Amino acid sequence: MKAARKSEKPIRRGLTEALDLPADVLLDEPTVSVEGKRRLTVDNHKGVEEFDGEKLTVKTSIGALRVSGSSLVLEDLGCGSLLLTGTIRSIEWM
Amino acid sequence: MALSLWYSLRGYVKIQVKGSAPIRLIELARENGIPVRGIQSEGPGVLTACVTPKGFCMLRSLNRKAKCSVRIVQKSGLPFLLAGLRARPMLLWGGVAALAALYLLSGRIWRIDVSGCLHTDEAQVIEALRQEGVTEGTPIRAIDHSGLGNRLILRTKGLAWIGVTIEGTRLLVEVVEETPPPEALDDETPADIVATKKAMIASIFVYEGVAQVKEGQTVQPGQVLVSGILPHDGRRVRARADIAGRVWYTGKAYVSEKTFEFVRTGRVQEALAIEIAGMEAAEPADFELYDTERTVTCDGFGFFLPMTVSREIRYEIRSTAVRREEELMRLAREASFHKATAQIPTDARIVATETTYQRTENGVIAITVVETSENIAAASPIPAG
Repeated sequence: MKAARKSEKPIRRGLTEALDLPADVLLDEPTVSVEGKRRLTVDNHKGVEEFDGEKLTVKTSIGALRVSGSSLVLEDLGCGSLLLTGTIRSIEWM
Repeated sequence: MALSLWYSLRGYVKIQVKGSAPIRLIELARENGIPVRGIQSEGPGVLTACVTPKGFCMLRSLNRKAKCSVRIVQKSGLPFLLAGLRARPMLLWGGVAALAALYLLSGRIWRIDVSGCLHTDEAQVIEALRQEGVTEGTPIRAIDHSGLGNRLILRTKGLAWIGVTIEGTRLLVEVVEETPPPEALDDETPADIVATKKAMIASIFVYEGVAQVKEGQTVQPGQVLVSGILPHDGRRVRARADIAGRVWYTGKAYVSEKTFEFVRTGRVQEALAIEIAGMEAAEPADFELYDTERTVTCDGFGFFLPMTVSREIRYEIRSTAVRREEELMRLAREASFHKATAQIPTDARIVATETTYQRTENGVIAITVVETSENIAAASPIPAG
């Protein structure tokens, strides 16, 4: 799952699309991967804004990502990537 | 899993963070390069997380900045386990001593098992092993394993082969005893004639010796048929006689009335099958039972690709049939006769055959008795005295 604002960085975006490069390399955009309903990975994030057992808000270069669910656990929080487990109910960009 | 093992080896502390925004402290930790994992919410304003001991020390300086309080709730991992053992040195030394003892003792033979001794005394083999320097407690490394069996044979009597294997701390000696050749009797050695199997005497003509049985009499294996001791003067001679006996052999066989015969019904399906790197995918079959003819249409596309495309023709088949009564009995009779005749020696002559049948719920049991006429006599030397 990838998201981006089309108006920004037109040259880099064009290059990325022409060369089929991953968006996080040139555009500094986050990569969000979801495995089923129980595992979510966010790469290239800018920090955790809010976290409790039912919601997580992550800052990224293109806005905040909010994940809602239950029994959420931040299994790993390293530089630039995080791993969330639990029962994921919704993912939204804000 | 591997990550958890790594954290367990490095050791970690589970901390509880309390404050108005405990995630701020976690975020500050991340920004300062402190790895944090297993972050869980314990309620409003309370989080638990796992950090390394070094990370925890660094975290304490960030407390005030985040306006949070931090306390350790659990210490886990190898470094803490070792630190706990440091307070109990005897427990540690006990564990080390037990491991060392286990290592040292596992390098020795602690049990010797001898198998295959029927007539030979096991003690003889154990004594031969002792003479070769192998006893309970001998270091395994000190045993010259190669050729030990041959050296043991030289030290023992009546053994044809000895195999020695070591399984852990157990020495297993397998013994094969010598089989003495049958005693050759010359024509002049006094001997009786004995029966070789259970039979009924059909005919007996004695040339020398005294008959001990009559025609029609049933004899058991080893029973004397003609004695080599003459009654009037007690002289011992080599008994000679032509003796034919009737012997009965039994064979039993069961044949089920249901048989499986596969016949094509005429319905055909054509399908495509693709095999890539050992994994195969094919169109689902329309029939439950079918046999297949396969033609490879493309193998690797002319390159070194691990891919094969095949065309399958599937023929629907039908099975099961019920045997007729006559066929059932014929098959059962033939099978039981075959089992009975398999026991008969080549020089025997079949005199009569009789088959009886038992009907069961799903088939027939046939019992065939084959009567033969054969030589049942063998010379046996007369015991001394």
